[in-house]
Amino acid sequence: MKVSHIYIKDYHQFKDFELDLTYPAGHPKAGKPLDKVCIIGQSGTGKTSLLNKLAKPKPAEKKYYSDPTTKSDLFNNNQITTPLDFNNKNLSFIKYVNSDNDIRFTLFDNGYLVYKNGAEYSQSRYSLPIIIDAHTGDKDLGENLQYWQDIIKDIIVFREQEIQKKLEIAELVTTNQELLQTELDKFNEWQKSRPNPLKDLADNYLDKLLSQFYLRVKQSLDFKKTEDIKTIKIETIEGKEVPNNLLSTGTKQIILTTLPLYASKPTKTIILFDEPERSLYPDIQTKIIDFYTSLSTDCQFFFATHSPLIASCFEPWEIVELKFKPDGSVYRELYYDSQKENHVDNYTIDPRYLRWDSILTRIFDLDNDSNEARTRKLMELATLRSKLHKDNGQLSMEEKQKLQAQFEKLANLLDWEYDAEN
Amino acid sequence: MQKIDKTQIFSTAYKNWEEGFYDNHPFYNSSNGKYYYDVVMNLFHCQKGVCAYSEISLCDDEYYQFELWDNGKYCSQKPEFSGALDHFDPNLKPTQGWLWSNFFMVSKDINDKHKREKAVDYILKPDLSDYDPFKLLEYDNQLHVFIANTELDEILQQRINDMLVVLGINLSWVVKSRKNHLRRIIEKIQSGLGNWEHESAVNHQFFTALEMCRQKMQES
Repeated sequence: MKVSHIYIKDYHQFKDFELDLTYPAGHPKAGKPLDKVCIIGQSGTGKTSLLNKLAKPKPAEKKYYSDPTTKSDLFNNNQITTPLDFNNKNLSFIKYVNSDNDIRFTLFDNGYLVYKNGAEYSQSRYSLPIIIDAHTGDKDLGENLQYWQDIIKDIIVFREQEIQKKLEIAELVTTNQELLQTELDKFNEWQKSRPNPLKDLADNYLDKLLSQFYLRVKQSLDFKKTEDIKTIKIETIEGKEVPNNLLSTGTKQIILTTLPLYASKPTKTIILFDEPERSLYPDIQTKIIDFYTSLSTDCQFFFATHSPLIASCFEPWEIVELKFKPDGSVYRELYYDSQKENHVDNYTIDPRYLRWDSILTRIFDLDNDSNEARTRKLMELATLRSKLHKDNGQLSMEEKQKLQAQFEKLANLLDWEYDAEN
Repeated sequence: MQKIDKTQIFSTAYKNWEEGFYDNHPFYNSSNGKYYYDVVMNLFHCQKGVCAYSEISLCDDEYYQFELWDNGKYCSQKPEFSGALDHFDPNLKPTQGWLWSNFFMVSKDINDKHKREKAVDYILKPDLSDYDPFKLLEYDNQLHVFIANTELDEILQQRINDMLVVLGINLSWVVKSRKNHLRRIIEKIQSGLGNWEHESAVNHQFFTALEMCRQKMQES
């Protein structure tokens, strides 16, 4: 289930506010709900308010359900509208559309939504949105983190079974050589049928992230004391163990925010992230969105961010830029001429194609691409250039070389490129 | 920054009103729009429709033609323009808030976000009789910034460079816009699709920078 529209009649800064969250005409998924949405905007425009409203959907009040006669009917009928609880007038709503055409929503008396899947009519409750808390604060990878504990529990069970089987085999070495080969074959079969959860955790999830920090999950078992099988150990790529409490804020942040996705493997769920960039270095910010989305299946992600690097990972129609009107209410900035059709060809801004500084000036509305100190130094560079060019033989070779050296030093300091965009 | 001739007054009703106050003008907002468009559109006429400092185009010439004034009043109902009315010397605003010689139409962002109440040096006041951009300034056609003429004495250069910063003439978004505009024109000329005379005649912004580029390129 994905959100296709939001309408807010009147709530604080939102006045007659409408969001169309579907792909535009000309897109392969035209008309379908967006797979991911990036909400940006000045502080106070309501990014987090929107996330909070999406996080707590009210039971559906109105349903569009009838026997479809055309493909269009099928799509249009396959949606529900839930009221937002602003001012109890039910004039504001969120519209959800199912991504699969053979799944229909219906409403049960107890207020829960269920869906019927194709001819089987099997029923199950739809998933509630998952909120990923990027505000890790002083949380640690410890006992109070349920997802982490669940994974460790699984690993312990595996390790206990593995150790038990190895002990049994070891005993046969001295007592029954005839049975040894049979038990070894059984053990190999068991290993194949029971994937090592620690290996899965490392290879399919954590090591992909930890490698950015020159770390990895320790997969070899150091069985010196009971505690050794009860923890997930992280080590440097040289094999030196790093205690969990010494992991950097950024490392913990990335583990804590991705863990719920790896652990719950969500499908067809709305996932909400506030400030996914928190504590992350820029190079990781450029990769994190793809990583988050890769840990789920057919989910809809909502990210609220202040980061141009995060914004660069989105198609232009996936960006919801909230801006203030002069009267203090909020509107969505469109990246195409509103007089024209909402068609991919009419978009004039695409964050994926812009340099980071251009994203800051063109999307995040930063007036200047640098501060006044740079402007003054650029003028100084131009003054040096002027003096060198106006020389007319009046400067000695020594003076000219001195000016040239000053020019080159300043040009380097300003990262100024000859005949290039500067 | 072009030299601006503000002697051609079409808004005579405003000018007579302003001159009646001598050094004790009513508070700037007190006009409540009574003479606002008279001042704004007369300034655009004098400034050829561009920001007085950055020379970014702010108003099409159809909105400041002489025919739009009647009996010393600007008469067009809804002139379209962007920009803000700037008090060049902010110290004069409290007592001479409606002084014609202290007014310029400038880009709104320069007025609201950059220049604001910064102290000014009259060395770069574009309507003064001794202001001559071709003597005081140079244009670097690679960096696309204005600087003081490097042949002037160092102290004068410093004063001019400080004022170029105050007036926002080298703000990065101004530089970007100026560079793109000039490059389009110069490439057109270099490819044989245009010539300097025609392009200068039809050009509607960044006049001074274009002329300085022309002079530099024709010299080399």
